[in-house]
Amino acid sequence: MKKLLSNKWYVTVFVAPGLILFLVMAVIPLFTTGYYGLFNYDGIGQKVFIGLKNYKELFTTDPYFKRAVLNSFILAAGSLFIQIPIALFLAIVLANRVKGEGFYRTVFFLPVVISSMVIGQLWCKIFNSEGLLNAILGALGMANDTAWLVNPKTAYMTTVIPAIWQSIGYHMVILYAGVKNISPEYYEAAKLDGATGFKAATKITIPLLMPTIKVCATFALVGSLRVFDLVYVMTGGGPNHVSEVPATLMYDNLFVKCRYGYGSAQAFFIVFECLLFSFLLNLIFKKSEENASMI
Amino acid sequence: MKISAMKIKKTLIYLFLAVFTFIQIFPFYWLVTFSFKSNTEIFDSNNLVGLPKVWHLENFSKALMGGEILRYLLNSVFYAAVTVVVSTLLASMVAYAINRMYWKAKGIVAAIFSLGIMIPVQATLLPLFQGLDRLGIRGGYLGLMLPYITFAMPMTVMILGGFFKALPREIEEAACIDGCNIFNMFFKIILPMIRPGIATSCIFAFLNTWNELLFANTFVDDAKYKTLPVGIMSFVGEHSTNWGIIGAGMVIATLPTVLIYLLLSKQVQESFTVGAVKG
Amino acid sequence: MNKWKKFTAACMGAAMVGTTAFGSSTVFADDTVTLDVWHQFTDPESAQTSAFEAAVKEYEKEHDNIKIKLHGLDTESYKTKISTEFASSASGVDVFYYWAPGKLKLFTDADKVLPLNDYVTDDIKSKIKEGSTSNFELDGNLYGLPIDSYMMCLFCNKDLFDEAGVEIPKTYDELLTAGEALEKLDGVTPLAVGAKDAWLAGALYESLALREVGASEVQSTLLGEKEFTNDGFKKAAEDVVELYDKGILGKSPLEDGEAEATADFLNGKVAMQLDGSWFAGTIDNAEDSSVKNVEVITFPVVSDKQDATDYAGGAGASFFVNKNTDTPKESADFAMYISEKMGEQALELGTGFPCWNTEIDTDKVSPTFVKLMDLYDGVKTGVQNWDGILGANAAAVHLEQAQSLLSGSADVDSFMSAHQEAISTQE
Repeated sequence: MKKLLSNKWYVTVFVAPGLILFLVMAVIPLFTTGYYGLFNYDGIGQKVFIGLKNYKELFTTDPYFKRAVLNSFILAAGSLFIQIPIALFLAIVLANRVKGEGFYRTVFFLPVVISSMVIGQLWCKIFNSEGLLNAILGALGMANDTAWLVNPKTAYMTTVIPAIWQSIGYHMVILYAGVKNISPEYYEAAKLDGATGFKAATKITIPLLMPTIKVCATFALVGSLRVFDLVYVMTGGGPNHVSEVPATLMYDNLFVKCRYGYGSAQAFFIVFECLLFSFLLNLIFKKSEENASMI
Repeated sequence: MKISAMKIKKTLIYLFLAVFTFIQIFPFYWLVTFSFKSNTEIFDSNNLVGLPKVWHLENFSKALMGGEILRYLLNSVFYAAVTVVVSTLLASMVAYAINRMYWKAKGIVAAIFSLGIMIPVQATLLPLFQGLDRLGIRGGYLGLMLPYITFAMPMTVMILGGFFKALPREIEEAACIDGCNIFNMFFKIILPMIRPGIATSCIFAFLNTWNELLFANTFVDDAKYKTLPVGIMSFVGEHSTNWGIIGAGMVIATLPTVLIYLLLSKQVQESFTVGAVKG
Repeated sequence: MNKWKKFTAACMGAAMVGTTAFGSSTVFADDTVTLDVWHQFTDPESAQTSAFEAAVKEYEKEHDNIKIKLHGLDTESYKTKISTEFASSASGVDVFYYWAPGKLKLFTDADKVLPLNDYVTDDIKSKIKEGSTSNFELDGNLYGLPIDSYMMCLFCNKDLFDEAGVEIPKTYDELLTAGEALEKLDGVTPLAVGAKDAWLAGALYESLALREVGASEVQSTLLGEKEFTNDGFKKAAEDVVELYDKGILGKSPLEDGEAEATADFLNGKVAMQLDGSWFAGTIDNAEDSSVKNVEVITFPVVSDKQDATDYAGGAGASFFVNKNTDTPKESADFAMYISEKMGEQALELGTGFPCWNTEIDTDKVSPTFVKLMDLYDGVKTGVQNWDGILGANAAAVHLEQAQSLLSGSADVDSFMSAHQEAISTQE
């Protein structure tokens, strides 16, 4: 069998079609972006080679970039430590044959299906100074007229909360499939040892689910570092750039300020940052994956 | 004693599910009411949750009749179907090779594919556009489909990776003894076993293609090849926009997604019993 | 087991449909020219769209050998699409709608736009209103012909003024007085800007700068002929802050965009709204408007002696020709034709004031727009929105600074220095 699975010809047939398409359509454009990042380029006229100057600006004189990166870290932390645990909880509960499982699974997924433009509009209405949140606070006797979206202290948080919330259903679906994929034999064995319910979840489900949790964690992390939609729709990075994230700055440079070279450098930075952090995440998960294979 | 503790726990869980259901269903409810409203109601800051004062049913007929929404809907179905099928086929083969076959470069190939979820798409817009131009495939179905397939693959590779890993080695060994060739083994034995994974990754491949706007706006030149989201956005006017029609368009666009989700997630749910039988 | 055969067959079939559909292109007789025309008149609900499409059909009828292929996208997507096209070869673009002079300058600098000098005959020139081509003249070339001029105005809900017992303001001081009185009405925003849409935050500042500095000085400063140091620029910023501090712009003006401001106006909760001339059409076409009595004024002057002939507005957008087109003559002819045709209908469509000498039938003009026509007769020199004049980066800096004046933590000095730097480093 090992001979069959190490046959070079078979490996090529399995890998080549997908890989070639991916190299041509994704990797080459990525490196072109990296190349543009070395130029002073307005996106239409002459390119002037300036070496690493764009990167130098990024790390030294750009007044907004550091804040933007920090902002994306806040979202990343929220996604990893709030979003994924909730999704995991829901996935395990639903996979354990709750009454109306199909209904819940569909309803919980709905926010993922709806366009971010609509979701953003909705949350804008919630956070408006005359909106739902202040109405609820008022009803609870904490009358408040904060304009959450345009207050520099709260603006970024108004985008983080919906961003964390919107993707819960997304991770729930992946994790749910992972739970469903665990062979029932494991549970039967555990039952004999007296492990059911919560105990079974921590002893069997979660360890065995580690590879899937890792995939979700990677998606959540990378998704946070390059977050764009909701921030762009809700605050556009404002007021005074306090709620910028790297991708909104990049978008502005690419398509609004016509600083294509600089925007490309920011894009390349985002990719590099994602690579670095998913590598770290890999290291963290390596251990737990090994544990999983012990069961 | 024990039973009542169980009961409390169960009640708590159902209570939580009920609250969460309310939260999750709210945006959809809001979108639906939005789609029946006029601008003055949609943007009225004092009226967030109410039903429309006047039900503007014509928003839906206008959304369906104005422009060529039905044609765009069919186009979108076509793009999404081909993307889901082709990307799943290619990516599942790659994922299998990475996770189950023996070869040296698999780490590198896995890393290359993981780049796919990290690239900020807005930045690849121009290079990709230039590339498609050079290849002479820009402007037709293919010029949009290939990028869609490409950017659907990395996620599928990663999601399926976990499922391939979880398979016991005995399966391939058993297949080998039966004298199965590798393609038969892969398509007839392995793939059916990871059905929940495939169904899940298909959901996302579909969703990403169905809602995509940036590529669809930029890589398509001819109205013949336009997608539904582009068609919906065409209702945005230069100076004024009837947002209720756009809401109606979005409701129409959401329904197929929910349908596909129902169909595919049923596959995931049933996998438990399938697993039990084979076990 | 047959499933997978079907599956692969389906893939192949799909791929083949893709290729054939792509490969097919209609073949015309040899002497037929096809022009690819790019535009943003996509909204099937808008009268502009049908007028545009009808004009194109008419052109095709008059020119047997020319076939027009239309490509439209909504405005935001359109901008991205066009810049991507021109960053690449732009091979599929003959004629395109665009904004001059600010955004177009990037294109003309890169030599991507065909000058129309040789195509504009004296006959055509005589039909254009004097002075309306200036935004399309760059580096001594004329790149396009104007369509129509817009004008920024204050749209006033007269009933609210009566309720507050104040007059519609003619001067800045009267604006303050009226604003303070209107602010006391329950749930009423005296002056709604819709400043979440950055260009409207810009428009408020620009309206004041126009009064404090004067149109010709503003224009030459924006074009980099003068430095951004006139005291009036600073005074205008302070005026904006004063309006904000007095609550005249509402509690948090950055929260709402044009759409929200419009809804509030139509619901009778806004006394004045700053918006372009097209807003007249929005008012007249709204089915569920509760506003009965609309008056329109240009922005109040800052001193009694000032005459109000300067206005914010002008002709900025039109059709241009790709320099690399295979059909320069035909493309130029169509670009000029469609500019004239859309310009002539501007009043009926309620988009603006024609830049072409044309007969006006006021019966076809919407009632609020008729009021605008009187105002327009009284103005002379226009400066269009600054983000349409400045280069891309300076425009972005200007708009974000204008928004910052409305954020509650305004800093007029950094507003000035940011503008000085951005405008002096253009190009």
